[in-house]
Parts: sequence; C-alpha cells; structure tokens
Amino acid sequence: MNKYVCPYCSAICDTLAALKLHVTAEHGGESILKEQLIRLTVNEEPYELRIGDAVQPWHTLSYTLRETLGLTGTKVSCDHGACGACTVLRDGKPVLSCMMLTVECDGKKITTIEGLVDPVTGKVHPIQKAFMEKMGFQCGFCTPGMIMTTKALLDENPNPTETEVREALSGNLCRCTGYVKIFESVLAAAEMMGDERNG
Amino acid sequence: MAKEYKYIGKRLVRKDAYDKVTGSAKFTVDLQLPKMLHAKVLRSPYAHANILKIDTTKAMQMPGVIATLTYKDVPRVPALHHDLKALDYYVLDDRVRWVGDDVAAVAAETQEIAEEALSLIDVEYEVLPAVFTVEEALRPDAPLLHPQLDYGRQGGSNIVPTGSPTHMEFGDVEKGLGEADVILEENIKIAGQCHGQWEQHVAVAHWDTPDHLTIWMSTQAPHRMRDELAHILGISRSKVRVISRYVGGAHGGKARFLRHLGIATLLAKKARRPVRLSLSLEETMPLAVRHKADVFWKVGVKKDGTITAIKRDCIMNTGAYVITGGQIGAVSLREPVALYKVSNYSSSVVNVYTNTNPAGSYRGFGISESTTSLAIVMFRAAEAIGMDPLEFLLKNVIPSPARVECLREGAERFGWKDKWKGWGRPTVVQGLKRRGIGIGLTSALGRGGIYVGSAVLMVNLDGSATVSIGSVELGQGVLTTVAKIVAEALGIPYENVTVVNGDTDTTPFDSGQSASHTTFDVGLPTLQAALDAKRQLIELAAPKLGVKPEDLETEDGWIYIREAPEKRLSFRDALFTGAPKTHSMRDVVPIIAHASTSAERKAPLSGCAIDFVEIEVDTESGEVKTITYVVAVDPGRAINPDGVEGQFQHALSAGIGWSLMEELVLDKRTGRPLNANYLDYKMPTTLDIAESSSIVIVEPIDPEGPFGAKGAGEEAIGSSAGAFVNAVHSAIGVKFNEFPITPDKILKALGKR
Repeated sequence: MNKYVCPYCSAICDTLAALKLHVTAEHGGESILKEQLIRLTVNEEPYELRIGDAVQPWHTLSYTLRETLGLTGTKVSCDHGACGACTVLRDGKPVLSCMMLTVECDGKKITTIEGLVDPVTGKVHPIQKAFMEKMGFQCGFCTPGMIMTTKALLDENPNPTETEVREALSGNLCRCTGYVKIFESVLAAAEMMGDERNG
Repeated sequence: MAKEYKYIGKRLVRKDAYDKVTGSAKFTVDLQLPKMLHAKVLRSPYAHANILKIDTTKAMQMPGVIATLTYKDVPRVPALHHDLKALDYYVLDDRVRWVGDDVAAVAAETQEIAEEALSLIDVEYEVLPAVFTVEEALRPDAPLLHPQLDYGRQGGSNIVPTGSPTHMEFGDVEKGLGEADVILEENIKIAGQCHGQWEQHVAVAHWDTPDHLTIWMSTQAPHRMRDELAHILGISRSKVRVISRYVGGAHGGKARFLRHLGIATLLAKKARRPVRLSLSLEETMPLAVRHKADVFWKVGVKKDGTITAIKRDCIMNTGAYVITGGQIGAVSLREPVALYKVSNYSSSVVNVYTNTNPAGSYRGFGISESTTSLAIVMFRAAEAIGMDPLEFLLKNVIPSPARVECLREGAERFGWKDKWKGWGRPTVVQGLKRRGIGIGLTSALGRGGIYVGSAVLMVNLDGSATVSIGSVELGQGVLTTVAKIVAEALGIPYENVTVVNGDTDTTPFDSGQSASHTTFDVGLPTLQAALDAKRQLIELAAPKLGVKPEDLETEDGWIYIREAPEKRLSFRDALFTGAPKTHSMRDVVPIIAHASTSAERKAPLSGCAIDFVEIEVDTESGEVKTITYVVAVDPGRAINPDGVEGQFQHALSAGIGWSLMEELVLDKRTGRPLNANYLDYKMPTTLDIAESSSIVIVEPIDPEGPFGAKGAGEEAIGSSAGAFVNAVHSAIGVKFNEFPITPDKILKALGKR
C-alpha cells in the first residue's frame, strides 16, 4: 500500500486516518495551524484556503478539488495511488491527487481536466478531440486521468512511439477498453498537435 | 432498405464523448446535495456470528452524527430479484456471514465523523463455526449459513435451495461414452474475478417528501432497483425514483440489488436529509464477484473427431449469499449444447454457501461455468485423437454460418495455419522462451429477445428529436446506438438527436443492461418509434406538398417527394399547421411515438465469441507474455463498430487478467479478502496487453434485430481463459486445470520450484 507523508515532519503514515491522528497529536491539530493559508492556482484561477477551515492537514488534493472546489472532473477510483484515475498536473508534472495532500500544494499551479477546455470558447484540447474521435474511452471514469497523463507525456515528448505511449500510461489503469483505442487516441493527438504547431 | 446507410455502421463521435473527455459527465459519486450527509458501514470482523446485542447510543451522542441503522431498523423483506427461492438477502441481518459483512451504518455531517462513530457502536457477537471452502461447507457436520431457508426434502445443508433449474439431460450419456474411442475426464477449477468497476458502489438517497424517495445510484438496472426498493419499503413503485445516467463501469457487478442501496435509503429516511453512501474500493471489490467453480467434465470422442457424449457436473462457490448463483447455474446448463453438436448430454450444477465474500454476476453469465472450461477439454480431446484443434472445432460446433465464419475468419486473421506446428510442438522456441497458441470459444445465449425494452420519441418544434430510454450508459455506447437508429430511420442528422436515459420517473421501462441484450431489446422499439414518427410526419406533410404519403421520403430533417426531391418541407414546417412565417403556438401538431418489446425471438438466438491467442512462456522466470490476440464475434450488423470492438477489446485486458494475473486471495483461517486493492490485486496495465491484437467482426444480418443487429458484448472474456490455458499447453506441454496461470505455477509445473 502507498503511504502518506506528514507535511510537517515527514513521518510516514499508512492511512489518512492515521495521518489525521498523527497531525492532531504531534502538531497541535487544527488550532495551531489556523492562521496558515494555502494558496494554489487551479486552472489559472487563484484560491486561498485556510487550514482548519476550507482545508484540513489531512485533506488530499483530490478531496479539495472535488469536494471543496467542486471540480468533480478529477475522478477517484482506488484512492490509494494504484490506478491513476485521479491524475492532475502540478506545475506541469503528473501527480496522483489522491496521494498528495493539499497542504503540499502551497504556491503550486494545478491543472485538472476542466482546465484543458478553452475557458472562453469551450473548445476542447486536441488531446480531448482525439479521445472523442478515436473513442479512447468507454465508461469514462479513468478518462480524465488518462488525458492528463497524456498531456504530460506530449508536453515532454511530442512524437512518442506506441511503446513510449504504453510506458507513459502504464500507471493509468483502464478496465473497459483493453487500452487499444487509448493508444490510437494518444498517437492521433500527437499528430493533431504536430499539425497545429506546423500550422 | 437497399440504400447505403448514412449512420448505421459508421464511426461517429459518441453522444457521451464530450461529457467524458472534459470531466463534465456527472456520475453518482460527483453529486452533492444541500445538507447532504455521509454514511459509513460497520463491517463484521467475524466470518460467522450472531449479533446478540447491538447498541448505537454512544455513536448517536457523537457531535455530527445524525442517524444510525441496524438490522432492527430494517424491514424483514428479502431482495426481489435474487434467487427465486433461496431468500437470503436483507438490507441488514442479525447474523453476519463473512469478514466484511454489513453490521450497522452511520450517517454524519462528514465522512470522517461517520467513520469515527462506527467504533462507538457496541456489538455483542456470538461467534459461530465457519466454512471457507466448498469441501468444508459440504461436510455433514458443517455449520449452516442459512438455517432459516426452506430446504424442502433436500434437508438442511449448505447447498443453496435455489428456485432455478439445476439439471438438464437428453440422450443417453453412458451409452454415448460407451461408443467413444477416447474418454476425457477433467476437473477444471474456474477462478473468481473482481469486476474492477472504476466507480465504486455508490448511492445518494433523498426523500423529497416523507413518502417519495429519489435515489441516484451507480447501477445497471434503474427500473429493477426501483422495484427492489419499493418492495423492501412496502410502497408503490411510483414512490421511488431511481436516476442513473452515467455509470463508471459495471461488468455485471451492478446488475442486482446490493445492501448499500437499502442502507442509504433507510438512513436518509431516518435522518430526513440526503445521504451519500460511497463504498471504498476495499469494500466494493469483494462484492458480487465472479463465482469460483469446479467443473467436472466427461467427454467421449471417436477417432474421427465425433463427440459421442458430454457430461458436466459443476459446483459453484457462491459465498455468503446466493445473489445470482442459481440463475447463472441455470444458464450454464444450456450453454454447452448451444455450441457443440452432441446427442447424449447431461449437466448438473449446485451452488454452495461458504463464509466468504458473496459471488454474483460477472460478464460471461453462465459461460464462465460451462463453455470456458469445455474449450480446454475440447483442445485436449483433439490432442487425444491427434487432430488439429481448429479442424476438431469446425467438425463439432453447431454449424451456424456466423460461427463457422468466426472460426474461419478469426483463424485466418490470426494465422493459425502458419503458426500451428502440430501437437507437442511450440510454435516458436527462442532460447528459454517458448511460444504456443490456443483457441477458446463460447456460445452466447443472451443478447436480446429475453428482456423488455421501450422507447418514447418526440419530434421537437425545431425539427430535432428527443428519444427517451430507460437504459444506462455504462460505457457500452447505448446512447450512440439509439441515436444512430433514430437518425437513420427518421431521416434526421445524428447531431439533432438527443437521448434522455436512466431515470425511472421520466424514461420508459427497461430491464437493465445485462446479457448483452440492449442493442436488440431497446434498439427494436427505438426503431419502431422512429418509423412511427416518420409516418406521422409524412402524413402531416403530404397535403402540404400536394401528394400522397407513399410518395414521400425523409432525409436530413426534410420530407421530400421521392420523384422530385427538390420539392420538400422541413420537419419543422411540417409540424406547424399555420402558414409559414405566421407560426403560432396554437397551430402545432406535436409528434410523439413510442414502442416497447417484450416478445420472444421467433428464431432462437445464439451468438459466439472465439478467442485466438499466442503467448510466450519464459521458462526461466515463469512469466507468460501475450503476443497476439484475435477475437472473432458475430454481432449481426454492427450499428456501432467502435462500440463492438470496444466490447471485445475489454477481453484483451480483463481476459489476460482472469487467465494469468487476477485472484482475490482469502485468508485461509478467516476468509478475509487479503488483497482487495489495486496494488496487490494485479490487473493488466498497458504493458501487459498483447503486442498485436484485432477484433474480427463477422456480420451475418440478424433477421429480427434492428437493422440486422443482434447485439454482443460479454462473450469474449468467457472464451479468454480457455484460449490461454490451451496456449500454455501448446507452448510447454503443461496442462493446467486451474488459473490464473501465474509465474509460480509455471515454475512449479516445470520443476523449477
């Protein structure tokens, strides 16, 4: 099982409940931290969340995104860092938001699936377009995480081979598709984005 | 219709695509209601115990706790659509039967408070002896899990007194076996499997008035769940509204009533506030899983390849509750003879209770317990008489055109003739690595003509159409299929069709999305409704265009004269009876059409799925790698080719998982699931699936289905395990009678461990 690391002293806790007990006992719990603010930018919008109020030290980033900010596009499936459904970008790098505490994101830029759509026109990102056209989804529950990992991959490697796609997505499980149409979607997205760059 | 189809069979962007790639699709777990509470369930630490005392007073005193629920608060009414006779499933019970069974529940302001309050519930248990395997459960002195059931003449035992058939036979098996040159006897152990639905079991219950419930849930069957809840609550069906539009995967696991639905409902009633009960993965994974089964086969074969008799006896481990075990057993009786020609046949099945997590439906209902393992026996039968297994199957399957074409086309695409090197010879040997090939095949008795589906269609004032169906979008693409049928039959652009679905108050009855039946049973009434709406439109347009209705045709939202297509009227204008440009709301003729089907098919339907795999065994590490995977299927006309491929591509990963990787491990002393999480329960990743794969769709037109569609879905996984076991057999000569074939089993079989 993946572990949770205390944001204050790096103690390792097995579960969120254990982390909560630890933070409350060792670091004065909610009261001592009340004055602190977590500032983070989500999809270009700035948020200030007060610890002890909008965010607790044991809140995961996925919890804050979904339950506090109402950004339910980010999905939680296993809730222990095994399936990749909750993948978001933190300063451009893919992270598992169910294993990352919100207090670890102070000053960070977070991008979620909602942030890929053009905020003015509602136009989808080429990766989203490719997943639509190649049917790179079925039930759709792993799709936001799959697309965010793809975004990180293509930002770093605009022309991946299928093998590179398989490797990059190996932490994102999907039960419906057998992955085949997901590979096709990612390769189609790379092509579309290349065409856009080259005009 | 001889003309080329415009939408049927075309690859179009799915109706749910935008929602799903942008994160705007709302699943049950995404729902937040004002004043919503969060619930948690207390789970049994014992495999088998009576609850002598249960007290939630202390939990109720905790700040933030609003309601608690124990068996005392629950109507003593068993679930409706589980077994017909073995009525063993209540929302909560005064007895627990597996480690993880539901004991009590709490609704509180936050999930954390609810979780903490669970530890304040006082429970006094009387621990009872428990049984974890079928062998233990069938001992004469074994403790009974459900002594209260009506066992009739059979007497009390842990064999489920099911209301479903348990035996079938024809011909004379003994005589048939006597005529055989070779008799194969095999006991194949079928592995259980967890569904891996990405959205865990979840419900949000809200009583809008003291006697009307609205409940959002992740289910395969909203209407069925409505009926279950109404039955348990003792209220009319119209007092329960179930909403389920998008479901984050089901794979059979959400086909039947499970306790969390009742718990959320009753907590919300007590709390008089909305309640969300969202089970964790650890809670969801062990529920209603694929049955573990022992299948004993006796198959008689003549040297020329003729099968003289098939005898099958199956024992299914149904766990603590039977849910669908009886029904699966009944289907499994018939599957073998829907696939193979044989004149002497007998088949029996029993379900056995054990103090383990309950089994239920999983894609391959009745297939997993029958034709999956029969494919292994057939492969060995071909070896016993020295025949190419493909030839043996071609000789013995019931020769429907679809099935023969699937075998031939699939083998062709796979390259069977080039790859097959004969018995005892791997297809490729490279250093320590050996490759082998195998075939697995199943029948498919489901697919339509067995359930009810209905559709209501409205032509809107802008000329667009809205169709309403009770079905749930699980990922299979039902919204797209239905929209294509409407677009094609009504003559309207696909973009102009809206599909409303999965709401028991606003959509018509639907039996639920199971048995791969939806394309047929919902597609057919959709087609009928669309044709009726077209007729109504044409009748409105005929006098305006000054011709007879039979002279008119529709396309792209226009009604035109067949002989003079330039003379036309838009749907929109046809709906208004006033003069153009003076359209008033008084001069509108609304068009509504509806249809439902519950008729049985005229011709019996039997589809098939045939899996061809090539694997590579690393004899040093014991790892099995999938090289090539071809699935051949017969969906009739593929209305949605992407969707058909997607259904069978599921098997490319879940089939590998079932055959080679996945196993929910239970503690031997307590039956507790030890790996109910995605780290320790190994599901295939992108790196595990075949290097190359393809789905072969053969399309013999179904004479009764919409546009010739028959529907398809759950078969390919049923044929996967047989193909893998057979491929390992041909690679290294080891005949496994159980799976998943994990590296340790390979090494043990090769004497390297």
